[in-house]
Amino acid sequence: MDLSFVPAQLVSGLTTAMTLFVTASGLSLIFGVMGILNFAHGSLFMLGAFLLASLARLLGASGIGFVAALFIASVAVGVIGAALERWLISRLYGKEELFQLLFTYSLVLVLADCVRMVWGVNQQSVMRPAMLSGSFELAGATLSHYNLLLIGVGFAIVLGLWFLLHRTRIGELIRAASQDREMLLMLGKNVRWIQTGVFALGAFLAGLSGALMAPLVSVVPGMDSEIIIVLFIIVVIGGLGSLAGTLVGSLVYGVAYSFTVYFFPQLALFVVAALMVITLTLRPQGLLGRRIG
Amino acid sequence: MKSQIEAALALILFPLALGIGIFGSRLWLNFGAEVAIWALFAVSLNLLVGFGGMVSFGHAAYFGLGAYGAGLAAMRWGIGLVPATLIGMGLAALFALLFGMLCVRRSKVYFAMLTLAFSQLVWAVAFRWNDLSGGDQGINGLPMPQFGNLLGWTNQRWFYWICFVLLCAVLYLLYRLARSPFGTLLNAAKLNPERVQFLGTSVPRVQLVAFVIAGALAGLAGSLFAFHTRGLFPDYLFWTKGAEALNMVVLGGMNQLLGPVLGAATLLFINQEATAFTEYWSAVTGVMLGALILFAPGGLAGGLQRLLEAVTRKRARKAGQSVPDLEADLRRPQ
Repeated sequence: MDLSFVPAQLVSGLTTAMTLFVTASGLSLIFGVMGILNFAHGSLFMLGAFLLASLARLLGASGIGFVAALFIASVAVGVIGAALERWLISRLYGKEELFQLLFTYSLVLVLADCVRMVWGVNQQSVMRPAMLSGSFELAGATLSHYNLLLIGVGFAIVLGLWFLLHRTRIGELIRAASQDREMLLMLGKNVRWIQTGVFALGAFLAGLSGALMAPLVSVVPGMDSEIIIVLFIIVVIGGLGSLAGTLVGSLVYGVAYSFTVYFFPQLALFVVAALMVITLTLRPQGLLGRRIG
Repeated sequence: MKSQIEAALALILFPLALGIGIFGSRLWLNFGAEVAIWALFAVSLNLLVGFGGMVSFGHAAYFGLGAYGAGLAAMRWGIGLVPATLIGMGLAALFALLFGMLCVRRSKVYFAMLTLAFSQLVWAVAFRWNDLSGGDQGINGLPMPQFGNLLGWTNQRWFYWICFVLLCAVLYLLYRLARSPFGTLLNAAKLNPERVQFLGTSVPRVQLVAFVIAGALAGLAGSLFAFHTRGLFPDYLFWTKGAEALNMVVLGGMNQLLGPVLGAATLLFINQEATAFTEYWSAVTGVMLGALILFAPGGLAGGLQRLLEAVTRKRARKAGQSVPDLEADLRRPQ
């Protein structure tokens, strides 16, 4: 049997998985610390993609220009996230989940139209920088340089987040805030800034992944709805609130999707949905989730 | 106080509806039917959201399934309005049962995510399965329900009256349901699920039944919608359809039975007028929804309630009586 497709699909799956992890980690982080399911996470992802499309056109097709565009786009989305949190999201803490869910959903509506207002309804075309357009052979599969960039950035984020959360003071505070916010308040820590920071970080990650994915997917209004479903599937499989779980969920999603696309392209979405259903039946809190649901 | 608000809303809406039915022009009958159908959809959602505390973002699936079920049955088998609608409702209820079984045991957050994910799955099927559903192009040319020239009324007038009567029937059904033991348990489960569990009731089972009922009613709305628009399109299943209903629920007032009806009428009316002014209707609804959530979660009906309370209190004070304001105590931020 000809197994030459395996390495190619594995790489493709890994690429998808690592990039989606960057997005989903933001969602998981925000939920873990503030208990809010950020419906607008897909919108922030979309914003990152659109910003990159415009910035890449502006800053040129060189490698440096592209990297600068990536950086600026992600940071911009992070700043927008911080502003959203400060002025809007923070009013939701302590309110009923019903209202929190409805409010973040209302943000989706507003952000979607904002994107339409600024960029119109047409698809944005984004070219990969010349430096990264090449590819090379490995184990019989053609790997593009861009894929490797995505995988590399993904791993860097995994390590970076782990380092941040487990080896820094700030990370300690973040973890504490996710476990017992009130105790942290009583200890005199500035929980408000932690919350804004976490949301900004989550938004940054969403924007970064959107910007990274821009050359590979169709950048159109409506990509926010697509991605949020994928994110939900990932966090349900992996477990909401657990970064390790999100990583596992992303890997499961990426690899399963990639292999299914090879054999039965039309069924890919249903296969991952079926995985989600199986996880729900056997382990409702997700593979590595805490017992919150 | 609550029943007074219901009565007030009924007093406003009912005569309007009757007026449209008796005197309405073609345009108004069309609008009226649309309002009635959306009101039905929104009310079915509110059974879950406002009454049961279950935030479902995937209600569009049952609306769309009702539409496709009824529409395809009418087109493929040439059956009439009533049997087609029953098929649509049945299909919607079936899927509500299947998806509900997986969704109701979860926390609110998971429930929201899962209902959305399942709904989008159904959409993806309809979008891709060209042979069955017409794919992304959809299907046009559904036969218009024929009523002969009964009572000298046009088909359109008949269709409006059918939608209106069905809406009233469903409202009555939900009214009785809310006051039944089942309804009381469902509402109690919204407020304190643990306590209801301690009473010996299985909360997931109660919620599943509610989910199926809500799904069936959404399917009814969808079936009527298919005949109303004479077409079937995958966006009937796209989650934003359910989100529009959610907007109506929040705008009208999720704490009242007739709230979503008011919300549907208001939103559709504004929609008609506003799309002439702006193409960014989504953003407008988003801002409105956000503002409502933050400052007036009771919606229009809630505002009406506060107005009536203020008036009552003023009158009581004039008469020298004191009126305890329990609701304000409850509403005070904790």
